Amino acid sequence: MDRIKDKVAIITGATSVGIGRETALKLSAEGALLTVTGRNEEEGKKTVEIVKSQGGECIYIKHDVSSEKNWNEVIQETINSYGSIDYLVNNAGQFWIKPISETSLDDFKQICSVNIDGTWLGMKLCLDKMNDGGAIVNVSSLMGQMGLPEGAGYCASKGAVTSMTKSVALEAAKRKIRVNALHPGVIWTSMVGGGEGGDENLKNFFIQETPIRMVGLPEHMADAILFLCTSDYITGADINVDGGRLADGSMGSHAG
Amino acid sequence: MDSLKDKTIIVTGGGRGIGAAACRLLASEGANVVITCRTVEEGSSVENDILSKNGSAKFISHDVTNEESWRNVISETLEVFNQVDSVVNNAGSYNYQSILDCSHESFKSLINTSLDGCFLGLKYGTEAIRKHGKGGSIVMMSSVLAKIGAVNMSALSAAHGGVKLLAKAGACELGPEKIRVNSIHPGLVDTYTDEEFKKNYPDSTDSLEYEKNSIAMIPFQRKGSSDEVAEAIRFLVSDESVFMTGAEITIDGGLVAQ
Repeated sequence: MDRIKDKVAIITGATSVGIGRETALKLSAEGALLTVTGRNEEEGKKTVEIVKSQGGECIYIKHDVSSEKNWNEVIQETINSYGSIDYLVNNAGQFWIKPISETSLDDFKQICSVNIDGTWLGMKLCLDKMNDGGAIVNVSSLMGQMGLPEGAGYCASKGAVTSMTKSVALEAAKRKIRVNALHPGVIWTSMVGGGEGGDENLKNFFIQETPIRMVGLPEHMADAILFLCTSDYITGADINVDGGRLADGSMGSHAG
Repeated sequence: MDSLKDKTIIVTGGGRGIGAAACRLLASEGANVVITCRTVEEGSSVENDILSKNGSAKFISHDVTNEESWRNVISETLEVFNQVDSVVNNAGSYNYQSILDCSHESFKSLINTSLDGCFLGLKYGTEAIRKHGKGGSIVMMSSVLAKIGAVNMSALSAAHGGVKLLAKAGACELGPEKIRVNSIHPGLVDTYTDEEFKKNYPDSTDSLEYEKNSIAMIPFQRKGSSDEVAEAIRFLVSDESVFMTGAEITIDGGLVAQ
């Protein structure tokens, strides 16, 4: 259980029950030293508490990923605490759907500022400080590869994450830093109306339209993130964690 | 190191290269490993190596293009280990020839080993995994040639493209019974020495020369290793990937991202 012992990881969007917190627990269990970030201070501190109660090292920094100033603080505090950075998990993201005709340009710019600017700033500002041989994992989405009705903003923002991942992978290759995109399908968290107390009918709908007949859980993403941190020759890749939904190609073809 | 404890995994082409590296790694993680290949000395050598390290392994002679041979592998595996949880369809052949130089016979022979072999592995593997009803994982070894074209590799591209979509078809069809099917897409992998390559593939022209010249094109400036690909296989047959099916893992040092 020491696959990444004493490696330093920054995980954004780790302030709620979801992929971020689960990833923090997973990487910590494998020996990593963590900085977890997000906007919700109370939940961020809770993540720190849980990680520490399991014997891990973890600090929380309040963070709006679309703010360059905030990013500089996150990086500086991480280096002050641990001395260097090995992994960056760009997990923070925003999701909503709205018909395009009812979406304002401000709405569109807003989702792009979190999903695109947030990921771009993280890569831009961390790369120079990262150790050679490190890894960046960008949590993109299946919707970065396919269409979703009323999801033009979300799809555009994730499409950008998917393509800039490859670009930065090529730039970072000379330092053997790996940069990859993960594409979750439905992960049953509050972001999609799920998690504890989520709508059971919605959950059943998702289960029926996913070939493997289940919804994903945050731990499934955490396992894939750990795999990408430890795999030395994978870079610029797109890896789906979606129960076969993209392979199926027709969302909902199994439903009802 | 027991991420695969109690799992029984069949690895075709397990006598050498990526297959042998995978067999050793899976056994070290607690799996019962069934090594299959045509060359008895190679398969037995991997089997003995694993047994000498207190691992669990069995070598079975196997021609992946032959249905009777598949039936035999499955029934012997069930006899020894009682169940099948995973099949790693790794066996494949090689062909490096221009379209005009490649005879139809050579093309068909490559397709037979690399694509038909995977289909039979999917078919007989599924039948065997179904017996315990708990689901399982089938891994298809494709390559970056399922994503990009390359000079003198028409037969390989056709086979590996087929393997990639065979995996997706399997994912859709078998998902409801929790049998996962994923594909791995290695770029250049340091599998053979020049001498071994010439011995194994006497019909191919100077492809190793081609590979050497290709390293400059790889963003990571090196080939991958069999062990690195084996790690991706371990991930896909383990419970760490239970929500992954129909997915592709490209492992190429950035080759096809550019």
